Amino acid sequence: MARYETAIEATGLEATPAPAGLERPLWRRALGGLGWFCARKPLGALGGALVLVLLLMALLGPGLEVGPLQVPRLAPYHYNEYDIARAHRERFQPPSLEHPMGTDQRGRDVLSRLLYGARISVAIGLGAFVIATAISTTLTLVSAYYVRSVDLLLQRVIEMVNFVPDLLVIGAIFAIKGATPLTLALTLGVLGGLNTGRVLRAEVIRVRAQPYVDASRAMGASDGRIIFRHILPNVMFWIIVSATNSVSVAIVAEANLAVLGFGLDPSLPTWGNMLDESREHVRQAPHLAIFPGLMVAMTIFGFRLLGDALRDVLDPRLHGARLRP
Amino acid sequence: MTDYLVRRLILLVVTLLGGSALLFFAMRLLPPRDAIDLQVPPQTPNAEETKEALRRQLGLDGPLYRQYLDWLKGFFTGDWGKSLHSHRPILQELKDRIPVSFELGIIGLFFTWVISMLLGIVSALHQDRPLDYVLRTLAYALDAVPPLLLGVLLLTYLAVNFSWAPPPTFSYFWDDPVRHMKIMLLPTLVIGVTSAGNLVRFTRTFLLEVLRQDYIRTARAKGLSEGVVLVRHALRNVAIPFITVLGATVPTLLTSSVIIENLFNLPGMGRYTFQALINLDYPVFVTTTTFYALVILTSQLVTDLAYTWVDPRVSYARGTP
Repeated sequence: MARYETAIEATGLEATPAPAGLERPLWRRALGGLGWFCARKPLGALGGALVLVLLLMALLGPGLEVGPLQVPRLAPYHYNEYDIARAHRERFQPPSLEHPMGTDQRGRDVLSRLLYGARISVAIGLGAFVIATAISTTLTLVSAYYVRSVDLLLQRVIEMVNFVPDLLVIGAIFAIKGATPLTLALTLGVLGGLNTGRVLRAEVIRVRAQPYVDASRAMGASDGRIIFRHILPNVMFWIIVSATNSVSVAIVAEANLAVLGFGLDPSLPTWGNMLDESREHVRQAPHLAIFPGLMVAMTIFGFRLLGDALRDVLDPRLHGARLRP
Repeated sequence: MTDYLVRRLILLVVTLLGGSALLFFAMRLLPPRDAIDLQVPPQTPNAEETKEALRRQLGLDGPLYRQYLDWLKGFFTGDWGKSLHSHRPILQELKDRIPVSFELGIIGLFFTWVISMLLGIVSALHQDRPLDYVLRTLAYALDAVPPLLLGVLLLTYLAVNFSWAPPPTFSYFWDDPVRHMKIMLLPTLVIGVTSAGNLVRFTRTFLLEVLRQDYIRTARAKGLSEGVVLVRHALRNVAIPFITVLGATVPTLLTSSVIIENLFNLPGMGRYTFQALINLDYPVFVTTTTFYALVILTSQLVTDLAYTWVDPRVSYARGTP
């Protein structure tokens, strides 16, 4: 770097001042970027807001205790709080001021249960995302770059693991290892890693065929340099977009398994368990199906809007298009 | 290209063999109990002897690799064995069940195709006008609703407001067509609607891209009507990549059929496979899953080949860098 600077000084020209935006402090620039994103992608901003609400629900809903920091829970009741003596009168209440989303078959507050369930879903989703990203990124970059050697072998291994529909794999692992949130997160992580790997692989194969990769190879760049400097930045947006997908996938998988009768411990207030239980009481209390259903749909909706907007903004292929009026 | 195709077909067979072996041994070695343990209650007198006799009778006593080879031989010669649970021949069971799953998938895909083409085209032709925004938001909403959720909510809505529910037991089309339609309408609609969201956006984006091409301007310039330009020049070019994307939804379709068949009580492949998993009924599970895998692998091969078709720069032939 220094070499170039002395070279510039030697020309006797004045250095161009940095663009005005770079002089502002980081938080102002971040805020400006956020404002730009909201103006440019209103649907994405809506999605971001929905996601933020979900994350806050998961964080604060059941209360928070980190060392000296104690935040009281947001949920009006504990998820399993009911009075057995009065349960027959308090159950199946429609939404009211006291219970904004009504009560369930034992007289428990539905809103509180949804808030506790949010934390379980988010925790599973984020755990699965970390594992999935680690697996898909490393495997795919190497695999798709060496298409005719490593890829050939690795794709067969992935196909063998993908042999069984995901839902049945999770069901089988639950049957053997027990249906805990941790098992679900680990299984979803590995399966998700292999699945996003497939999309990422197609993307890497596409990028690998671009002229600029040929150009840098012609200039003698090493494989490592091409992978990390030329291919990874061009597929980075896929990794970010797949991150927004993982919580939705976790929620859907959990709900599907619950309805198949293979879900997490029925005493846990997951959204899937609530949906499944509601099916027996459809006629007396439709709100038991509607509120968890709305939560599931809103969450997926939010993540999808955010993910697509992020992809539009981050995909390097679309950068040229953005500059046009 | 032929070279690549032959290689992929050989690999497909290798994957099928490896995958089925993996699945077979996993099914037999990993669960702490087997199907026989589930069937003989522990309080039966001489429980252990009964189990041993049953295992001998069903051919579960030899060495495991032998059993796998027997299963493999049966799979290729059309002798697919019997269920350990119901003792019915698997082939016969599948003969009743495949039409149900097939119908669910095909009619579901048809609904998807109609919905996504219609909404996508209307949305593209009204680009950046209110109707476009409404339809795009609708597409996102469709995407956000998992099949399970739409199924549960639809059943709830119909039960509460119209006191209507699909007939509780299944009947085939050739037995009672009206009743059959009543049963199949909701599940196929659910599959069709929930797979459409993504494809609506795909159709819209791709149609907009095609409409900016020079040959569309040429077609307009030579005085063709807007309808002819759209149908004869634009939509034909949308159809090709659309088929690729549709092919890629086949595995998702199979998974959702497991859910839908369980939710709506349909005697299809998905439910059969899932019941087999619960009963640890390994011949059924391994056979049906291998069948699934064959479908999925074929659709993936087609998708990979379609990449070269859509983007000629992608090449799998030898000798390219």
